[in-house]
Amino acid sequence: MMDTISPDTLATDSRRVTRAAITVLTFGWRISFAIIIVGLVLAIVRDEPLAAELGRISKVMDDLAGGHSNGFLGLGILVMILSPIVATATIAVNFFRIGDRRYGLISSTVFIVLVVSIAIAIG
Amino acid sequence: MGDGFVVRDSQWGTPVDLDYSLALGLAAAAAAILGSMLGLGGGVFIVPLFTLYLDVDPKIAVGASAIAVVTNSVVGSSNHLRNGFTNIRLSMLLQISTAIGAIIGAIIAIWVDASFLKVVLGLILVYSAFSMIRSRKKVYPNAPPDAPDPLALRASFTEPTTGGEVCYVPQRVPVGVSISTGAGVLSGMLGIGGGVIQVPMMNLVMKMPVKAAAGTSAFMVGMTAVATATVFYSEGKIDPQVAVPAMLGVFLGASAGSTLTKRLPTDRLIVLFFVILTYLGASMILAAFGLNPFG
Repeated sequence: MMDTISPDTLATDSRRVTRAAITVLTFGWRISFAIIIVGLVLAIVRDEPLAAELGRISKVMDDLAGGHSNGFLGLGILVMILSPIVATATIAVNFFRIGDRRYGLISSTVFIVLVVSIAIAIG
Repeated sequence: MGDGFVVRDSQWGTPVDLDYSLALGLAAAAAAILGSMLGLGGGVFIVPLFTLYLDVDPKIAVGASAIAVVTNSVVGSSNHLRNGFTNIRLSMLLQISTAIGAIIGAIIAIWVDASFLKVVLGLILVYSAFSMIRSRKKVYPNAPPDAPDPLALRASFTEPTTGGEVCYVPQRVPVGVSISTGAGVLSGMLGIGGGVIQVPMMNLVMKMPVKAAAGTSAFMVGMTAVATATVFYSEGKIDPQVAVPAMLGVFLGASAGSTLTKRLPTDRLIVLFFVILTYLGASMILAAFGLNPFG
């Protein structure tokens, strides 16, 4: 049980989970901004107007398939929105990997609650 | 908006104006600096700045704000985590009750008078502000290695301004979880982020250092804002001409804010928090009586 783990072991284990979270969040914003910058460069090079609304996700994907700047901007924003969700899942997995089942379950519950609240909100 | 340098006309929307985009980016950056430093999402600053001063449609502003809050949290948290200010275990523990509270709040919002809730929240914020400023000189002693820690929430970080190691174990966790649920309910009812309640609660009730409270809250507000951002995104109600400058501004602001958190002495951070909380609390109470604090 975690209660019997020494503060040093707890700190070492926490660092592993923290490193995983940092990696996911850092990759998340870097990829997001890289895609957004590609979209902005395309818009400038092609003199392509930006839409006043991104449109639904199917339109974003169509724009992306067509190589339009709107699609890249939409994808970049989507990557940013998904980053905290992926980070939560990664944290849950890493808690299980270090043997901290209690916080693995708590993090998994947070992940499920996030997904459910999104489903209800979109619903 | 504005008569600056127009790049091109959009066949769907308004012309893209570089001056206007720059103004949006700068407003978002300013909001993100404060948000990142204080563990808030920054939405409480972005929406009024965009709607009242930059003529952005309120619905577009709320959608852009939700995305900006997520961006602020993702960028700011990657720095706060590196500095050791974020307690991941505590953030997960509190996030469950906050998220469930937010869902309950959104469901029961239709039966409760929003003005009454605004007064309650306003009074809580003003009370928290005065409690924090009163105890700003109080330094919680480092938790000893054998301090009771049944939930394994012990954490530590190096205080950058002094170089000393700060070790703490959050206290009164069940009370903290209960308050988090209440914060979630208020968030769901009033459509605000929970940071303005979570940070003072972690500091005053759970006896956490302010920087750890801000770092932990900054991570949590991103998770809370994801649902709102997803709704606007799935409905296609995101205007890239507003959202993209806001994201770029927030990126710069969140980076600067998390660096400032590292360098600013804790008591000055608390003074800043006092000013912001008092302002927001007074605004909430005035708004409940139909008075616009922005004139």
